Amino acid sequence: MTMRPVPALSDLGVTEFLVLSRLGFLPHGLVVGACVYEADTRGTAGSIDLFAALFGGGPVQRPVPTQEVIALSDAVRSARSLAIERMRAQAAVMGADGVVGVRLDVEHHLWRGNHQVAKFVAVGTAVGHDRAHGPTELRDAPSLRLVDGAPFTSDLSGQDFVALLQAGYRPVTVASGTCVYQLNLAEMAPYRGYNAEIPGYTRAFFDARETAMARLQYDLFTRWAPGHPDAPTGIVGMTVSEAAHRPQTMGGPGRNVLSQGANAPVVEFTAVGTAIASLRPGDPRRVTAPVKPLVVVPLDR
Amino acid sequence: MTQGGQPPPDIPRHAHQRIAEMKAKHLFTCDLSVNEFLLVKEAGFDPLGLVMGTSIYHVVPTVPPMQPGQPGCEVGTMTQALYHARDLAMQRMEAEADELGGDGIIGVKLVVNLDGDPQRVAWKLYRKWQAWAHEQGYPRRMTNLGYNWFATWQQVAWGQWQMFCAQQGWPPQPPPWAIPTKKPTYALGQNVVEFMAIGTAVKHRGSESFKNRHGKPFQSDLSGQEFWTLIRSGYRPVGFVMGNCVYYVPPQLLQAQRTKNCELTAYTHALYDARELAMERLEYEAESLGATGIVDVNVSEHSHAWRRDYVNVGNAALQSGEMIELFVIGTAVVPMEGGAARLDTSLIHVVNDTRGALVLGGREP
Repeated sequence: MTMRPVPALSDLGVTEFLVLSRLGFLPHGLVVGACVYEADTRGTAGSIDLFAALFGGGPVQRPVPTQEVIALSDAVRSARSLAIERMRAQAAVMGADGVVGVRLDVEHHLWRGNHQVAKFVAVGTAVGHDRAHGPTELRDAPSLRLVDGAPFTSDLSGQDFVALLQAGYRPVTVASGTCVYQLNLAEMAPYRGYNAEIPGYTRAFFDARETAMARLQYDLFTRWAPGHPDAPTGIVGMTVSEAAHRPQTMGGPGRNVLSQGANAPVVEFTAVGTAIASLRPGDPRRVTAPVKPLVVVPLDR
Repeated sequence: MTQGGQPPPDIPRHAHQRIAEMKAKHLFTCDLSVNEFLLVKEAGFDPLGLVMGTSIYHVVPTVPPMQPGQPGCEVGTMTQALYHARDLAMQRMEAEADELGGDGIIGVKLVVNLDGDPQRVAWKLYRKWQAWAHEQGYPRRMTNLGYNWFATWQQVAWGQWQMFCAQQGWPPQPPPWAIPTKKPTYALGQNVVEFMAIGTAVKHRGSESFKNRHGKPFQSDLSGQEFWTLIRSGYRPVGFVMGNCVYYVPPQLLQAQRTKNCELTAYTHALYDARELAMERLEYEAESLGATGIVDVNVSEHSHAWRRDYVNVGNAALQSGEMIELFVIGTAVVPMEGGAARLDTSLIHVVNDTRGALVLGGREP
């Protein structure tokens, strides 16, 4: 099915468009998937020690432990994968082979009634192989769609996508993993006044990033188990970033960053990358000659 | 080393799981771009996995006792602390690469994250509010709260914002400076700094071992392109080497006569001395690895998180003195046996006009 709406919207650069069209890929349109989630942080505030509140003795506010907030991790993970799946579905409706240049974005908004919502957006350009207009030697090239007929997704630019194809790989999906952690500020106390590592925080940050990366792999292999024709062999361009899951100050006096009391910082760690697999055997897109880098000295400045 | 009664953290459980899964299911992960990935493959290496290490450190700015007239001195405890923190992060990354069976780690990024300091975070918000207030026409004498800014700025800012909302006929709502930014702001505590090292573990496809003389995987901050060029020119990296030096200059030495052009000798001396000390330490590390050279050396100056007052940032040094860190880092290399390969280069004129793409909103660099 080659359904190519004309004119097609894309956010490809000029060079990207040219390299893609040389392999017969033409843009089918901009695809967007979004998912709005209420970033509820209930349970991340410290609990109140009722006994201490009524009878005195000991601090009333029980601080939160430094640990993962599993409910939030799950919410963010499903929100992000929903956004990607919606984008994929839109690309499928357009009859595209896949989506390139995917950007994953999170926007935090404060809505009336002090609702903190997080909007997860996935934007990319759907591209399809146009057999009629592509090069003749690629006319019989197999489609890059996954086995179940779904389009692939990737956060690669057009140039990177073409370089990957010629080296014998194809993108499978944009993969992401998430871990939301809350931190107990009291853990700082013993280290006030001297130079030392803070093992509790180190453990938390280390573990959170590792968990995000481990979940990315786990989710990939749950969907495409090893041995499946689309099972990924690697992930390129993987990054692990962190972001605050809610503002530290909502404005107004008394909500100072320092006087946040039991409101522990909540940090979201996200790993994102493009999972790749080998091209199907006999795909003419693979360039048989090995990659031959050429060292050049540019004279443009 | 145990501090505060707890042993230094090891690699977390999830890291072991992740590495075991990658090995069992033959999945590689890397933070290399596609070009870098293909070049690393061409150089005879396979990327194995993204490896990382981190250390969150409490760094206290303690000024050492000084003789009158002394032209500044090194702050040894801070030098050690900052070195130790980076070293811990790199050791953990190395341990992960070792577990993965890598010969080395390329594309290492050393990240220093200062946003754990609440005063620094508050200072950013304070500056945002000031910009907003100046836009609204408030004069600087009303927005400059002086040394007491930290205690009072929220009151003043909130008052102005409420008045603005009332004028506009808006219901009360959070002011623009309180809208969460993309950057994480987790207020861990004053003077808390995170050091993180992240890179891609690689393994040579042949039988040759590329580990360094300590039997550990080499580390380097070379990109995939640089790594390929180095290997193809007959050199191999043996390790990431670094040196640092934290230096303090007392305030009285920073004052110059107003009417005279003159050299600030204390500054010159401090920067000179600190740089030399840091470079010396770098060279010492490279020698201990048996390196014949160091490539891609970066010298940088920081004043990380230890400024007590963020007011009058430009002139604060005149009251509290200046504390700077000179940090030098590079990749130690040795020539390979049977190397001496020459790279053929060709000169080209670049006809890409990258400006046009940027103006039109394309995503090209």
